[in-house]
Amino acid sequence: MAKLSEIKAGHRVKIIHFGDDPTVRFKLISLGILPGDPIDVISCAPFGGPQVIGHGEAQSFAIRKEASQFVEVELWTK
Amino acid sequence: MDQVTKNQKLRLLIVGLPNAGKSTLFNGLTGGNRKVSNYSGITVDAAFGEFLSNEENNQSIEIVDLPGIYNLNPSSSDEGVTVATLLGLYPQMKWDKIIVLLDYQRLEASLNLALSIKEYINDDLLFLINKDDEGEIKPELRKEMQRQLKAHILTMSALSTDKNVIDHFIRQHGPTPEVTPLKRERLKVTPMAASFFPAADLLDTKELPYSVVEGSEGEAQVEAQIAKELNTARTIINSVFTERKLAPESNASQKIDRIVLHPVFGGIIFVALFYFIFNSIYTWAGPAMDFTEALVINLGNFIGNYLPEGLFKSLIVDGIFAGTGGVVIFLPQIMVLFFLLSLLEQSGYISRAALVTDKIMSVFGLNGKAFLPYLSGFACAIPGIMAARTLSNQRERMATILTLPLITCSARLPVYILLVGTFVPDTTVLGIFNARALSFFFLYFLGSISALIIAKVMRLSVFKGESGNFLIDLPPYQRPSIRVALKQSWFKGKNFLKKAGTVILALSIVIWTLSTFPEVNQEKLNGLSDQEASAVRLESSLLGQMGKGIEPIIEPLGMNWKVGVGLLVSFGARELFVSALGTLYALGDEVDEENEGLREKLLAERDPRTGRPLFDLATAWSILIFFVFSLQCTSTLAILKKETGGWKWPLYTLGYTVALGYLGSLFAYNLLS
Ligand SMILES: Nc1nc2c(ncn2[C@@H]2O[C@H](COP(=O)(O)OP(=O)(O)OP(=O)(O)O)[C@@H](O)[C@H]2O)c(=O)[nH]1
Ligand SMILES: [Mg+2]
Repeated sequence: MAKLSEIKAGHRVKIIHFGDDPTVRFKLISLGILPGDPIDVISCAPFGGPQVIGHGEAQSFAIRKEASQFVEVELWTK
Repeated sequence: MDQVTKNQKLRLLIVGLPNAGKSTLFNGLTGGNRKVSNYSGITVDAAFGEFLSNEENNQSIEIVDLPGIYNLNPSSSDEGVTVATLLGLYPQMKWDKIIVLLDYQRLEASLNLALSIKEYINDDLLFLINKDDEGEIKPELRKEMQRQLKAHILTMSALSTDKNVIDHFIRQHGPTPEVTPLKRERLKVTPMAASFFPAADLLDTKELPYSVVEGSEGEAQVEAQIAKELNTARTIINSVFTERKLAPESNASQKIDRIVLHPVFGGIIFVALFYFIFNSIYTWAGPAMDFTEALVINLGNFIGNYLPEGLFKSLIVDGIFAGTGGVVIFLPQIMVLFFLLSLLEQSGYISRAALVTDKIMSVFGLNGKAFLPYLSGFACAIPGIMAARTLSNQRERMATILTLPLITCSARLPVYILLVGTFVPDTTVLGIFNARALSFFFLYFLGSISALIIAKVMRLSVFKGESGNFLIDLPPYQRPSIRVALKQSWFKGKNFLKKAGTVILALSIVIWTLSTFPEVNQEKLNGLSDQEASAVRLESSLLGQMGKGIEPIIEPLGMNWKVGVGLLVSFGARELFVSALGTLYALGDEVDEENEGLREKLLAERDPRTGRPLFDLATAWSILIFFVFSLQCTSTLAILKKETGGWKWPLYTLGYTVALGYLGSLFAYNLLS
């Protein structure tokens, strides 16, 4: 198990747990993501800025590392 | 006789995810002009519009464009407006039916939202699936979805589908024979979400249509409530679209993002892009401006030739042409700025820019989402202050809106261009940069960096507290449409001309009047040359006396009384600085037979005592710096009052910006002179 914030660009991981911040949890589900889903780390913004995440739908999103360090993931194997 | 009575008006709400295309649809059906942009959270308030087809139909339909939402637990005040409207929390805002606009590129998330509206608000919905540009949803798939959702569905593209088809569909299925009652189960919201609803004492219902659930127990309930429909949505989508593939743009966008959001290139691209934009305002629009200026001057001279000498001629030539005309010549710059910004917004880059700047913003106690409000501030502080409604954290929001007036808005543009274009030499510095473009960039930069620093000071003092989180949508890139950009630029240009033709024109006449009267006794002018006489006349006018009155305050800044008058009137609207100088210099300059532009007059003015140029680089920068900082705009004060709920913060902002302006300009003048 790893923190999402530690995953480098180019990797696909599976979400285990969203973390404790309710607004992050609500928002991720509302974007169409549930625990167990695969997500792709597309890029990490300049200066240690937010991570860019792709998921099942056409629109990606970005999340600050302060928040993504609470999202637990594991490498996608399938 | 039969009387044709129109049925009662039907009011429909358009609800959907941010960036689903609601405002595009609204504009198409009503002929409205709501702002559309490839960015989640462009719309921050409700707008009402009549269907264009109401003329030919018995049934009048009104639709309401609302801010986008992700779920029924709002996380900012713009989302609060939509959910509160859905829940009927505004006594004045009764509605008849909800149109859910689903985004084909985000079908799961859209359907999740739609299903929870069905569950908690009303189950008689009309579905429009937008962004199906290629007609990928075949009729049999649509029918299958209709069957499963038990609702009428239209698949469409707000960009290309014939508006009559959409109109017809809504007319056919919109009116409901009987009103369906609200669902029994009550919506659960967190205390945080409830804080974005209107205050409970505004409500006419005794029993609230939602219940507030507290603590982590409550959060878990809300989470379950949001997640419940997502599984249903997935089941439906998987059973209908057995071979659904992702929209092709998605992968292309992700490829672009690998470069645009690259840790190194990302920053370079960002700076280059914005330098390019500000540079173009100068270089592209420059020749067009010279042309309009020549046009205005020649027209003024032409008309002047046909008018008899006297007050009336002076009003037309010195008051209206030199005053309002001096502002109108900046039309090309305004249009170029909005054209380029529109291209950028349509492309989808703005949310990437928010991301690139988030780290820097967080250093200053702000949020990357404040990027769009600040960027809008380059056009005008007012939409920028409104756009800050999307910020969830109230302290971050306050720090953002109270520093927005420092951002260089387009009303400062005429002043900057006039002074930079007249006093900064057109040379190349550091090998590649044009000195004027660089000065320009510096002015914009100074305003922006000060906004950030002041925001930081506020976040450490008056708005001290935790920072909000940052989770932003990155919509797929789109090829910007030149047509839309031209339309936007034309629309803004028209508004600029309208302002020049009304407010500025009226105030130019006031300025002319105040600088012409009271007239001087003829005896006093005896023995003076024409030039001296007109100077005496001007100085003894009402405005002249005012200017002389404040001269001691502004003398340390290297400004003469004419500039002082300009500054005084610029508190009404910044453009008035240019029109006031235009009029003052035209009046004080009667010897000159040919009427040149203000720029030449400023360069030519000499100090009568020393014979040296009155206006030099130091004076110009002193004025420029004052304009960088000062909040000289009554409409901004009014919107600040509205958004902060009182006069305290607007006055606070006025105070600190003017103080900064004065000190900054004192510093600049002493440094350069
Ligand atoms: N490809 C495609 N793009 C569309 C369509 N409809 C709208 N868009 C684009 O989607 C973007 C968002 O459009 P808006 O109308 O501003 O979306 P909105 O739902 O009002 O967004 P918010 O106000 O932020 O909630 C713009 O770039 C539109 O040009 C469509 O049918 N197809
Ligand atoms: Mg909108």
